[in-house]
Amino acid sequence: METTTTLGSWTEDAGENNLSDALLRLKAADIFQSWRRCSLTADFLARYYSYYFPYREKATDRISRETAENNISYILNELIENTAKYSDAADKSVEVTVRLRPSDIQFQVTNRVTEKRAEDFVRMAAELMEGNTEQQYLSKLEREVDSSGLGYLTMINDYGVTLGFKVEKSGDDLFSVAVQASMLWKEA
Amino acid sequence: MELRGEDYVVTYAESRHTVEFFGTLRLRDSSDYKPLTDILDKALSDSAGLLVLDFRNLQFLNSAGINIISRFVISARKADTAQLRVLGNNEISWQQKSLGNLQKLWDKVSIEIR
Repeated sequence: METTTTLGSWTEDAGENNLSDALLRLKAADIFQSWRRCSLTADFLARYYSYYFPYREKATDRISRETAENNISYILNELIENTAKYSDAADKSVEVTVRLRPSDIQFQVTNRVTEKRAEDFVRMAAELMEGNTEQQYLSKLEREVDSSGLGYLTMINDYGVTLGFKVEKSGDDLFSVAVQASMLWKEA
Repeated sequence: MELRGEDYVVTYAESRHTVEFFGTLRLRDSSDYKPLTDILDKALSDSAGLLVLDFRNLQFLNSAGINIISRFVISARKADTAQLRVLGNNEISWQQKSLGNLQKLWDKVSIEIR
């Protein structure tokens, strides 16, 4: 497999225009062992970033605090759950990054997987990027098995999220898988 | 009948043909959701024509849970023995954004989001 594969709208973080950045580095084993840490981490970052948004009554050109907290928590929880389900090196870290940018908020998770899993992941991501995600969502549910990618499809279809993926050889026979999910917070 | 976890409660009131959800449901996968699937299947089999799923007090449901509910709607469609009535809360994002998808799986599901 290629040393580096990028798919979707992957962006390298320039950083200088970010209104805020946060980075959490967790040990993969911690989130395998205690599943509720996924939700806890998502809720913490969601509450933390919700303070940038006004309460519903004053939210005219942007999403409200309540909506921001709900949406951020849903998206981050999905991303973190995936790292907990699919990390192959318990001793390695999972990184969770949040970047508040001038018109959107970007979430990024990175974890380490085997080459086999990296290949499966690239195949799944490429399928997601083929479009018609509404149809993909419904046909996955109608099939008896294989619900992989369903979380990404809900993010795209229901939350208007844009996804980007980067899979890169990281030495010691592992690959690092990074997923970016960006959600607009300004509303017309 | 009741299912209770650290962050959620699901109750099944047989006399009212209603399954009610409370809290945050974010379990790992379909095997962790099996007890919920069992409750839903039981509720469907004794539904006598109507079954209500009340999500109004469920703050969060992850995609694994959405998967379970969606597949349940598909199995109810296939059985076609009961009308499904889904109650949602307009102030909870996931309900406002995702509950409507259930109707795309079966147009006979009635969805009331208030």
